[in-house]
Amino acid sequence: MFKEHESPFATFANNPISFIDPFGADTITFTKSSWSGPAPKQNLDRAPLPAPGGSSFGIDVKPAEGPHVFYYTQSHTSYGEDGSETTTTSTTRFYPVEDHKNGLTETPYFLGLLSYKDNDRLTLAKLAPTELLDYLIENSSGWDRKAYKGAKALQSTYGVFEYAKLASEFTISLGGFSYPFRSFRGGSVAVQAELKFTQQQVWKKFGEHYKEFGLTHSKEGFQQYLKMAQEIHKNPTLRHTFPQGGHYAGETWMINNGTILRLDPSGNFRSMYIITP
Amino acid sequence: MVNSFGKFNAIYSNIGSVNRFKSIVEEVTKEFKPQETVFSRFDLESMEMLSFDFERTIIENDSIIYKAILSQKDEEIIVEYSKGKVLVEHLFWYYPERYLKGINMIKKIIQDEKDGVLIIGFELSIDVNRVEESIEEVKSDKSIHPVIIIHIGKTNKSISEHISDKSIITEQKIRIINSYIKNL
Repeated sequence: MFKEHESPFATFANNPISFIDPFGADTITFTKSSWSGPAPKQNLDRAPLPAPGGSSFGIDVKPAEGPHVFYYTQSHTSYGEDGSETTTTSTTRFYPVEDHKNGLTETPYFLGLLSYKDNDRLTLAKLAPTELLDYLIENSSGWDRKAYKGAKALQSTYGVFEYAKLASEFTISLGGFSYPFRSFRGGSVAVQAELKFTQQQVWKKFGEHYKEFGLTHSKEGFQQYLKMAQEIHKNPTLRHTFPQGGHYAGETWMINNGTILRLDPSGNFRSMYIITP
Repeated sequence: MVNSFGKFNAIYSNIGSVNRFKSIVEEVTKEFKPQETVFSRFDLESMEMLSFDFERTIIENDSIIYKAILSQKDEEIIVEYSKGKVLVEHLFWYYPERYLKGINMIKKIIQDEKDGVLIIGFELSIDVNRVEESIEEVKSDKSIHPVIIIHIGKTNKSISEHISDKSIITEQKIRIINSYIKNL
């Protein structure tokens, strides 16, 4: 936890997961949702056909007391011909540190015809994007740290599920990672620097996005748009700076309630828009 | 589905005049049939946003940017004018990926002009009062890639790509960009 006189940014500057209390424990839930439906009917009007099935994956990290707690939630929704839907959901706690054998994931062998049920550490290796494992390693000690390092070593042998890699890519966009910040208390938020912007850039993006926010294209609407950006900058629910060498290299994203504020690599206002239509 | 990439932009820039700005706005109004049109101007000296009367108050002034935003349900066309440059921007969300009305409009404008530059990407910023510098900035700023730049001459087109990496998301963006270019 922070001491009152310390700035959270002194410790966490440029850390992509900077709003997590590094000394706290988290509840980490992996969620895989899938759906299936009847075969699409003949496409008479050339309208886009709904996909007959698909899946999504997300990871949620919430503060908790005690050691890290891991859950894997799997849900499946079947859509019927008549539009009905049936959803089955199961949530299982798993123990990568103790390395129980819950068999939540499987490793195929013999040309993929047979499979082994995985131990929990391997399950974590397959479900967690590398950056999450790095975070766990960095913020643990003793046997826990060894276990997470072990999971990372397993990852290099067994790989990460494609959808978990995707969750890594979509960390921000799908809200896959959700980082409530419990470290920000008392006066520590006040040390946040002001949003850097040029009026012309804000005006440009206001013109492109004002309607999403239900604002009028007026001086007042412009001021509201700018104020909203400043509020998000001051108090984001989620903050992520993309590492160099990849997509969005050096950009910072700040997200609050489905609104994204993007800062260019120099920290200047680039844009703000709603990501969930 | 979420629109995390931001809006798709296809920005056409060319040398023009206040009259060309007005004629493009009128043409878009007629052909694109916007549901809503708003006008605003930006004073580069006072850094203030102001409104203006399209029919009456447009004059040549180096410190003023004029803008018309013409919106359809899923697409927008934004026309800007400053210091002898006209910028025509087509925007839409990549989800749902609907852009046919706007692309037809852009095609028509490009056909009339036959000389200029088209910049394609996501959530780009090209300033009409400093087009060349803005293009250089988006080319060199890898955080905003992929960016495709098409120089449209009187007889030919030259395409240059600026792509910093080939991650999954970039591939998705490139698919959308390619689909757009194919329809141009």
